[in-house]
Amino acid sequence: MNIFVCIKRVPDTSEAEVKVDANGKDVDSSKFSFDINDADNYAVEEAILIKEKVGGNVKVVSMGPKDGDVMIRMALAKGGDSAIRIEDPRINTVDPLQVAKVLAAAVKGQDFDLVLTGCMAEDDGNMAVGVALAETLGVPHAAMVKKVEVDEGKVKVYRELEGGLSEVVELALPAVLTIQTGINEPRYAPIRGIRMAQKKELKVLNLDDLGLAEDDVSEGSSLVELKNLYIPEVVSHAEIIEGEPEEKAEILADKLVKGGLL
Amino acid sequence: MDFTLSEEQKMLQESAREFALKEMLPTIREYEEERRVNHALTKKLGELGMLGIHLPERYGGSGYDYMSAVLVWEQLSYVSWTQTLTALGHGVLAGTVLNLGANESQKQKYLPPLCSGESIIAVGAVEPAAGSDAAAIETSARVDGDQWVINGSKNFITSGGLADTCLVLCQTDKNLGWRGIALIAVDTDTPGFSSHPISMVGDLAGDLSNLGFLDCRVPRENLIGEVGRGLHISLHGIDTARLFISAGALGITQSCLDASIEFARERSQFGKPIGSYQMIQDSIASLAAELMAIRWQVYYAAYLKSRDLPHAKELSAAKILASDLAVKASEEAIRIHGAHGCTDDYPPARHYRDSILMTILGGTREMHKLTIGRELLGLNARS
Repeated sequence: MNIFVCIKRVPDTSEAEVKVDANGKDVDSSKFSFDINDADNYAVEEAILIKEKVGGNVKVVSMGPKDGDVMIRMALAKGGDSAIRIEDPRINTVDPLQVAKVLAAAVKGQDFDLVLTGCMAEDDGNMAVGVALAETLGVPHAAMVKKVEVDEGKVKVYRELEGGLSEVVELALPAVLTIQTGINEPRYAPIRGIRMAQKKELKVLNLDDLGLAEDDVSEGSSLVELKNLYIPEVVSHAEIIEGEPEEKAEILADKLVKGGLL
Repeated sequence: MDFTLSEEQKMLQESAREFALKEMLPTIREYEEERRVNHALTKKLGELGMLGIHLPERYGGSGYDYMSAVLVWEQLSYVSWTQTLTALGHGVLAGTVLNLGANESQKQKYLPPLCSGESIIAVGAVEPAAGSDAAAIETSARVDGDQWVINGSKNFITSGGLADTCLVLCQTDKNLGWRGIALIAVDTDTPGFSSHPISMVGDLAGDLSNLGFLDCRVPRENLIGEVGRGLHISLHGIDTARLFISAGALGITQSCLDASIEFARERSQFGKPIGSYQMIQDSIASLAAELMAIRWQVYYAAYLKSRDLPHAKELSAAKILASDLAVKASEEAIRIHGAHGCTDDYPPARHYRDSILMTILGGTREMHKLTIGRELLGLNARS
């Protein structure tokens, strides 16, 4: 089983205040520490679990500058076999369709059975790259996957739906799965793995290596335009409900129902 | 001169930090309140290869140098030094001692299960009347046929009550002084062995015990190395323990600093965050400045030790400075947190309890100053 797993390096916004940068189109990330996107971490673990069960090869793919190498090698330390990092300032990373196009170029032409991504990136929250990647590769996909059972030439997956429901679908391989958090328990990188990871292949590719034209993946041809980022204004509409606990619960429930929240 | 950490070292740091935050932080309070040891940690750290991080790969260790080990110890201690000491202190002390002093078959026997966390090995050196003056030990070992017969007692033995085996520093012939001292492995199920936990100010989720040996009989081949080398190889282990403590003190200080910064930004009094007052900023800036300087001293000692270069005064300096800083940092952090800092709802209280121990274990600051003085003056105050 040849598995590709796509991972993204994202800022940890829990530690520092989020501020929009001077040009209003990005977040000032100078105060953040960066790490692997949470859902991608589960995708890495799932890829390694599948490899451990049925054998095969796990290739890690990521896009971004050299700062991401520690994150990539951590995935290799946990059991990934090799990695590709795509670095090219010409790529318009704001547009998930163009990101998918670049990732697809890295996967296409290689023998693959499964491509795993996280179901959502914590920074932009788009949830689009995985699905767009399947489309670009011309293979089936399942999103928000909570359980994977690999079989001969196919895969059975359990998708998370709203309201605690699951949908079970079977896909022919090759396929793309976007992995939901909580599907497994990501392992820690063992020390010996960290040592071995230093010797594993990490290829750095640009658009030319991938055979892509700048026009295909740059801002000019994008259907997405980032106009402006802003911090929502904080407004206060707190209402204190008075009374005995039973009364308070009743009033609260009534409000939730009327507000269409239940 | 290159001050940057390698990618590999950053990965070690990250892996240890993630482990500490996920495996230790959520339950540390519970273990401390109940004064319980989290036995699972030892096993997990063994599986990850952190227990024998500085020990050779052929004996189940991970084969990293002391600089890398310091990075891991620092990250784990960031959350809890008592659990770090308990989970892998025996790897630091007994692991180092065995790697230096044991013969090949002893290494094969003891080190792999030690590195994997399957067995815990304590080192019994300190006695009621022999603390800093380790050569004054009175625990005796005499030969009877093909056995050693051991009698005496040991104090403040890290994980002494948890250990499967204890490497006991014994006097084989009082007339020989340090030349008569031997290190002998005693399994803790040997008849005549007893252990009694000590209630300490800190190390609440750990074990420091007093040990008793009453006519404990063990095979002659349990002698580690040879008679006369016992003190030397034990001191080598203690040397590594000093580095471990210094690294732990950095972790504690960083945690106190981070907690203080977070609290000072969030806690408002008189209409603004307390961090905007100059006296709080002074406290935080001073701690940060000292940590920056002392961290490099600890790393430098680790660098020298990794290369087997002389490092006695550098490590003694690191141990004094780092452990004193940990005490100061936890005190300052408690002050910044106010009454909250005196509760276990915030990290500084537990760091305060553990940091006090750091100033004593691995040698008091007075003893370390004598070491630095001896190195500089060429005069030994102890002889």
